[in-house]
Amino acid sequence: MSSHLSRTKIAHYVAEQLRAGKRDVVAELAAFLVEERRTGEADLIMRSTLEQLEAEGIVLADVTSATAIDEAIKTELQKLTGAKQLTLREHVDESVLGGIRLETPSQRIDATFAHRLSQLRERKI
Amino acid sequence: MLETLLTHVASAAEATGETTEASGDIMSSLGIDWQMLAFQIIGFALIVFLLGKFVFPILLRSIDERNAKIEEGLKAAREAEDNATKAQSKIDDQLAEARREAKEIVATAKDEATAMLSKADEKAKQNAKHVLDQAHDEISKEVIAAKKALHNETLELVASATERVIGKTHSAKADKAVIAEALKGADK
Repeated sequence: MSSHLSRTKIAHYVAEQLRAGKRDVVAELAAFLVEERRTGEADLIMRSTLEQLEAEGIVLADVTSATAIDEAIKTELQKLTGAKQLTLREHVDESVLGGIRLETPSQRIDATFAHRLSQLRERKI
Repeated sequence: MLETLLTHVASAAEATGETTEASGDIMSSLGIDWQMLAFQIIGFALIVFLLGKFVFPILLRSIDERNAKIEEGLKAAREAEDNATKAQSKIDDQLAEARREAKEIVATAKDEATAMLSKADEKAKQNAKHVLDQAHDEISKEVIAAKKALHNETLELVASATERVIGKTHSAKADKAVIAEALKGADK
């Protein structure tokens, strides 16, 4: 790889490799960033990579809820994201009290009770 | 001169003594002595002459001088009285002027006092209104602050109560229904 590639180009390359099923590209990317001393850009590059994948219908999403979600909810989530291939990282957090929070590279939907109560508290004057 | 006069008088008396002898009886019966009468008349005339020449002028002069002095004194008294009258009149005029000025001063002082009282009254009213307005503003601010505090406290109480209630009563089944509802709403 040539010196000082843009984040977009790097992300595009990584996304292509992942689509092709080549998971080694992650290690390559890490080595590249260390060699180029651009480890600070790792998060940005990963976000950009995920955004590109999302644009092609491959979505990695974090789901947080107070209780474990079932298949019906997962199906609804897929319909909601419009993804051809949805990978969910499930998190069970009782502090959200109820409801669900969905985070993808391009959007965030927070329908938890904790968020609603937080919004209620923000209405203080 | 006096001796000459007395000699002439004696000679005349001797001459008349002779002519009046015939009528002497009627006169002596009345008790009148012609010689003595003549001497007395002459003596009286002499006295009158002497008085008129030597005494009366001096007396009259002194009387005139005294009259003049009296007249002078009267004149001075009249002048003094005139001056006193004039002075009194002047004093009366000055008193009248002083009374008039005093009256004006009192009237002016009364007007000024009335004006000062009005001004002080107006200022006191303005101060009272200002204090009242300030009090109203303070009260309004406090009411607003109290409403804010109540609003915030109510929100906090509602949020806390909701947290506790949901934490205790929210079941997995209910949560699934809530999630499904939320996803439908997000989809729209």
